[in-house]
Amino acid sequence: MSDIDNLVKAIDLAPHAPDQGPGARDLREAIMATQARPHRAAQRPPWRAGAIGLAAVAAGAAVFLGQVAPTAVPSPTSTSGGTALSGTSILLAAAAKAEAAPDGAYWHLKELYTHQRLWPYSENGITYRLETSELSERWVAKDGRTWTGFRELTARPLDMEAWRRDGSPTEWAKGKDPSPPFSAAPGEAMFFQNKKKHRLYWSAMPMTLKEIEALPADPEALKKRAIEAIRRDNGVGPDEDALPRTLANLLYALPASPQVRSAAYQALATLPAVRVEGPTTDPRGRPGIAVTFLIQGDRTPRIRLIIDPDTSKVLAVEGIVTPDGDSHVNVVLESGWTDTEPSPPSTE
Amino acid sequence: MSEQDDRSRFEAVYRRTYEQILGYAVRRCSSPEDAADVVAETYVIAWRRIAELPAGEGGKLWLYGVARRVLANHRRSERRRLTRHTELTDEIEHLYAAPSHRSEQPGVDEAMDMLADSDRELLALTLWEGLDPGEIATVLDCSRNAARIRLHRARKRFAKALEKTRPSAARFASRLLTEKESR
Repeated sequence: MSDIDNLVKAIDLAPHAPDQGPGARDLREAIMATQARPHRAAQRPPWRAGAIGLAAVAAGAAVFLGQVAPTAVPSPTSTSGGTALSGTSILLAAAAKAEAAPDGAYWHLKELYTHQRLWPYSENGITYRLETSELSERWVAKDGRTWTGFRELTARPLDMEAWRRDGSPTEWAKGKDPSPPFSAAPGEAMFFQNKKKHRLYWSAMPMTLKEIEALPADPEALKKRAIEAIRRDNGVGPDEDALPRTLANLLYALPASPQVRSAAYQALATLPAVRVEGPTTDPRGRPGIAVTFLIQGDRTPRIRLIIDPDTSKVLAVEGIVTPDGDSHVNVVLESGWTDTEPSPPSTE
Repeated sequence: MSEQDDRSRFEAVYRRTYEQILGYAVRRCSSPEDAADVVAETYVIAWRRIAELPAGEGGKLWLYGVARRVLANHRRSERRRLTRHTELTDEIEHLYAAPSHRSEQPGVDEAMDMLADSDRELLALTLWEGLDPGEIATVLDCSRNAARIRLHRARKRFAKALEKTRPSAARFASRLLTEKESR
């Protein structure tokens, strides 16, 4: 390389490959949550056909819910698996609990994001699954200041036998990617206060804290606003596809008022393909109820919420791909108001 | 190809190329918001056209080509922000705030600014993106030979510009030319 080349190289604005933070991951998932190659969607059965298939499978404790009026009254439903609350009533019961929520100086969201992926990059040609985890935190003060925290946690192989055959590595390079490899040791903590003009995003809609607080507490009005927010991104996919996730975001990911959270639960109960799978535990072992949403064109649900009906808290949000594919889960460790000051993420 | 194949493929490509596409956008956009938009739109297009995405290293070059067109459209019109992801913008903002080497190289920025967009882009693709003339030809959709000739001319014009902005750097220009002869 000539001297002149070195001079130009030296003024490179981005000389070091930046890490993939939570924003990069969110973007990837938002894109993958839409249909690739839209022309193929037409060849698939419409969601109603899929939903009927699901309804047939949903025997036992699971209750399939068709169109349900938002005003449905909670009532126990008898099924062959015993007595269970219907999906609507579970969501509506959660809606009722959502109205009471504690206060504090900072709204704090702390999520553990775990991703199980197939690892095809082994030099020895051995493929196995790897689980990677990241902590992601966000604080919002009442005056609108916001902070972001992020930390990559340890990666671990899920097939120990294959991992040993691979020579028991403690680092896994991301293919030819020049960025740091996944590691069995936790990464550095990233923590910073955002600029003043910073907005919170509800789907594609930038919003201030005040605007989030002022969202309508009526489920139908809230659904309309959700569609408006989704449309801001210029139609990456059908608006309705993003509705379950967008409404669910109000339950844990944004500082919405208790009334708005309650309305979000009620709005979720009105979605055509909501299904309660029944009692389960989240990856932390916390007991909850699993609720899935079917998106048009899909045979299996892509999003599963685990909620604690007693507190109305969302415990985890799972992205389901296919049985052999990658899966990921956001475990909600904290979501709510606190007086604890923002600080860099620890390893837990 | 099944949808599952598409998904694994997209994710692998995203992970492998994200840093490079982000770097590309950051080097060419004046604000983190614009860079975030270019990155987001590039990958939205890649996802929609996943069937056309070439395998292997060709995928990266194809993405550079998409990013280049996205950037051109972006500059042409004051468009609505595509990026919903405030976190992405924050991460990129961080990059913009990182200490730059600018002050250490007097005259070099100015010389770059004196070049035509096409010359600047060729030097950038070579020296910042690290592409060889064959790869540049793929991104710019021209022949390898054309890329090589254009790059040679861009280097020459840059050396001339540098003589104006930094007279003491004249020696670089002569050295550049001797080096070119020997290649």
